[in-house]
Amino acid sequence: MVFCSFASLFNRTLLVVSGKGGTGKSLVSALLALMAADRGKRVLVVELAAQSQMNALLGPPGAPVLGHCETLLRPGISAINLNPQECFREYIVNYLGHPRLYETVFKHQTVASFINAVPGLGESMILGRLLYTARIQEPRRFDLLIFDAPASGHFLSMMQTPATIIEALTIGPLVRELERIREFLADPLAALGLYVTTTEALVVSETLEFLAQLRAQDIPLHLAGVIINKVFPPQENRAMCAETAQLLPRALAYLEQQQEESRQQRSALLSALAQQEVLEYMLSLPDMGPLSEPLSPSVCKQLMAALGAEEKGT
Amino acid sequence: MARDDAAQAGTVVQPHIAVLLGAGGVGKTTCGIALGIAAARQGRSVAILSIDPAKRLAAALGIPLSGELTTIALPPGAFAAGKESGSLGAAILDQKAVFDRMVQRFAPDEDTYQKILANKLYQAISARLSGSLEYMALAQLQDLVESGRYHMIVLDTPPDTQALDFLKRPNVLEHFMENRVMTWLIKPFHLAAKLGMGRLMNYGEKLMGGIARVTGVQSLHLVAEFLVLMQQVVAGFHRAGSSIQRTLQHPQTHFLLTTKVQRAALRAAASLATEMRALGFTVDRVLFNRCLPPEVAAELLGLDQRTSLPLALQHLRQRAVDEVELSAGFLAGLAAREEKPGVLTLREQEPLETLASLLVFSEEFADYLDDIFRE
Repeated sequence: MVFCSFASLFNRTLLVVSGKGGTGKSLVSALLALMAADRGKRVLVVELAAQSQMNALLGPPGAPVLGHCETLLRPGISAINLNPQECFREYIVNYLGHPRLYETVFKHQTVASFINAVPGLGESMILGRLLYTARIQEPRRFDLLIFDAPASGHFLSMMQTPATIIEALTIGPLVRELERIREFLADPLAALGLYVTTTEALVVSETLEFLAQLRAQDIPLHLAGVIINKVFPPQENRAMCAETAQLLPRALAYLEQQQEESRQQRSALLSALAQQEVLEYMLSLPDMGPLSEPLSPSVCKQLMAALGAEEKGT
Repeated sequence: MARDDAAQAGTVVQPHIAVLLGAGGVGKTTCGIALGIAAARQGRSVAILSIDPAKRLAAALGIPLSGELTTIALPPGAFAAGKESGSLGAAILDQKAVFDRMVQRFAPDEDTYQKILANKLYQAISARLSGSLEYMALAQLQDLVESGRYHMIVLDTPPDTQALDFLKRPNVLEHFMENRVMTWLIKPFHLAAKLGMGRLMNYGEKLMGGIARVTGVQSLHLVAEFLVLMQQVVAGFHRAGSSIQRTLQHPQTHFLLTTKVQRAALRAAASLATEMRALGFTVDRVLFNRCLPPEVAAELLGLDQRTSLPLALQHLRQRAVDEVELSAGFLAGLAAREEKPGVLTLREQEPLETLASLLVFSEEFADYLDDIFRE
């Protein structure tokens, strides 16, 4: 195995967090950002969402919704919600250094619709922006990027975009850029992926399907681990339950049924994952009930402790 | 027209269309299928179109991932008395199959069709790149509408960021096509690429030359060739585009905004509602999915707040309180801008992985269907 501790995740330049929708990708991204900031890293959380979550999770109460602008949310942690068209503009203006080309050519309405009509260009620009911020831009402003990536299916096609376009176009400047992007993503010392799941039956089956596709499709990203979110803690003592059983018979029955289902799914998931030799980390996050926003310090502490537990060499 | 003749013969139906929108993981696909089953059980002929890339539902329903409608046999006992004529078909769209079919349909001739299939860019994008499926799902929807064979069509949309691309697609295509300049711009380049870049003289060609500096001449040539070929397909598609737009705006098209009653999901739902409004569509129903069973919620809410509980039950009580407060807050937010959609509260279900459990869940939609078919 290449990596010996969970802490070594934070020595990468890019962590990519995916998972089925609603499993807690954004929560895990936020926790990783907090843990990295605790280690003195300058972190940028990158979102790609209709509605940004990081301002609510990590910002001060009432922080405005994030757009395509790096915004400091708390010491050491900034976030940005990327817009593909803006990434394209930055590519031409900042990276290629052709502001006039952009003004005269790419701002043109017709060219804009041309750009919209080329499939995969948006995805390429997003991935390119990750590489640019992580590796190219001087001076370097962040030590670690955490990409709160799209959900499973969209994630797979996004990660395949560079190879797809390289294969179709074969040569040219764009192909050279995409090759750099692919190399960056595929280097396990630079970039690693994490997949978030829960113990719901549908989510578990999608997780196993995702892992199978990841292997089958030659995705240029090393998946380092799976994080199982919303795991019920071991059952509390029966005496206490007996008391509440009188007060809340239906709620207790509901809860016990949910817990039982969750336990079964979790053990099915763990035994299936045990066969995935490539996975370095298999972590569990306890169910914390409905979360308040921004995340309270005590909730953060407990969840970060659960994430970091494995680094003590278990 | 054939369609009018058929209408006179009483065989054509203007379908009700239910479009499910929502963030990822809120249960859109499952709700869509349960809704379709419910309508079939009431004796209606129903088609479900899903573009859920997860294969589990295909497996649960026993249908292939092909884009073709496959009949789902419901047990005879599932139908209401006298409603055994109900039928259910579902298609889970497979990107490449649907794409090929649309190209075949809209390509002006066999030669163009073959050229497109041979184009490297087409081969790459049709199989793998995201985003192209929405174009095609809408075309397939329109086909089903025009067939006049369905009382109800349920359409499931992609999650998260892409959700509303769906509604924007017809507009993107229109922009692309209304720009006649596009043709003027691409065609000469396409020729010039064959004859040598020196021929790029006029302004439009200079623009393309600018693009070539970024992408490389060779790449641009391929892209241009692809776009020229596809333009004819897109033109055919565009002719269908305005009818798709009409279908989406038809009063019998209903947008169902699906969400869990949790802060992050509701935030995403609110942003979808805002965007929909900007695009000129209205949310007809909000589906609050996966809520606590009402008897459980009542018990928890009725409890003296000072009662100390084990942690897991504290969380459950908090969830009951949140469900009340957050759903009310969400609806108040919509009401503040004079949107008052109906609400359907759906309780958390057993894992919905089998037809039997979907049949049970489908009962939750019966009243809603009565509502829309009465209107």
